[in-house]
Amino acid sequence: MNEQDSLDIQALVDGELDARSAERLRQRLDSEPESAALVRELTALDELLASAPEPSVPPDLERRILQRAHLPVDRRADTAIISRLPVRNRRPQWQGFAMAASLFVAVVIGVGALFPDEMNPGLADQMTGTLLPQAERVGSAQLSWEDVEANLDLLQTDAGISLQIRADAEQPVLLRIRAPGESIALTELSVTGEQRLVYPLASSMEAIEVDVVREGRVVHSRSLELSGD
Amino acid sequence: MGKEMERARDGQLVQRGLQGDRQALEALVNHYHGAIFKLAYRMLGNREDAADVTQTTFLKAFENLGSYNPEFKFFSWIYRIAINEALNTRRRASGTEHLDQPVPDQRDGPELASRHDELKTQIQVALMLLTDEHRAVITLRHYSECSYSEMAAILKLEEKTVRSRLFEARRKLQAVLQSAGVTAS
Repeated sequence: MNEQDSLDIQALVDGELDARSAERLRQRLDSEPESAALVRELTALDELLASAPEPSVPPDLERRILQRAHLPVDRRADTAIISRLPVRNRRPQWQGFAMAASLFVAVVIGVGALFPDEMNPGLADQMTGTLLPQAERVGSAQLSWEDVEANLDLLQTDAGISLQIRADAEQPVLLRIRAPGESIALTELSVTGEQRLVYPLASSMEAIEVDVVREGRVVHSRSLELSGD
Repeated sequence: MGKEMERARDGQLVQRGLQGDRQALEALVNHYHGAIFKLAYRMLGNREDAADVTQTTFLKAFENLGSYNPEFKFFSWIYRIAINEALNTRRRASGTEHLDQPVPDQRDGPELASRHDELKTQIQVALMLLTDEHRAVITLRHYSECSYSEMAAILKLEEKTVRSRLFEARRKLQAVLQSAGVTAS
């Protein structure tokens, strides 16, 4: 068996031969014990290497890469998962928060006027400067960027799920809400001082992005995954 | 997802990344950080070094994204960066290298887990006894499941050179494993 024969047999074991060449070589194996032995050796080595467990990937490695890759431009998106489980299943996780928020005033600023077609009509009627009856906070995340602080809450009402943003910023800033991968905003909230916005979410929506826009430039983003689990 | 679909997806992500879409870059990290880490680990035998190489690989890839030629596969390009980074790390650490102790994995029961850990260590030790060139082809073929043409693209070698180098590497690895009494059973 010459070197080329060995390389052909290796290619056969690796599945790198075309069908005709592979078949021709297989037929030769019956009459060439040395070639057949090489097939067995290469196959055994492949199985041995495959039998060793793979190294586990450090669970925080992706986050570390993203931090290192994006920090220089200060535009790294971070991600939070907000569950929209039924209210009764969420309650134990919110004991540290004010449970009195189960019935609260949602002051809506500009949403109905800016995006009347996107609003759930029933909820929009309820929202503008009025009470959200039986609204309960079923998920929450925080956004913090320089002087901008925002609490992002999921509100459960009979009309469905809404996103409430309560924001505070010393300098004027725009919070832009959009679907991931989309450049067109679902809604926006101009913030100087304390502001609040409630926006009804489609039931099919699985995630949203909140962009912090200052002087026309996106300076930070926060991704919110709306987990159904 | 097939390799052609991956190629199309990666091409789109790179284009979006070049236009400043950070989500596209994050998607590339999400798709490839695990594979790059495992490749680096096989090349280095040390988790911390492998994690450092993985991070550096993505930083270099993003810094040089404009030089990526979309006619080639993105993974070939980034794997090449990773291998070069791993080799640089090896050269810098020459004389001080150490292999990780296996992290116990009890999912298969203590006895089998112990056997798996032992096998993992023995194979990694055997890999580290190969030359960098031989370890690279073994790793790409057996653990990254690259084809000959993909290995040629990653290592910038002719395919016939890959074939002969892989054969030599397997022979040497087999000899090392046999001398250590390592078998799959």
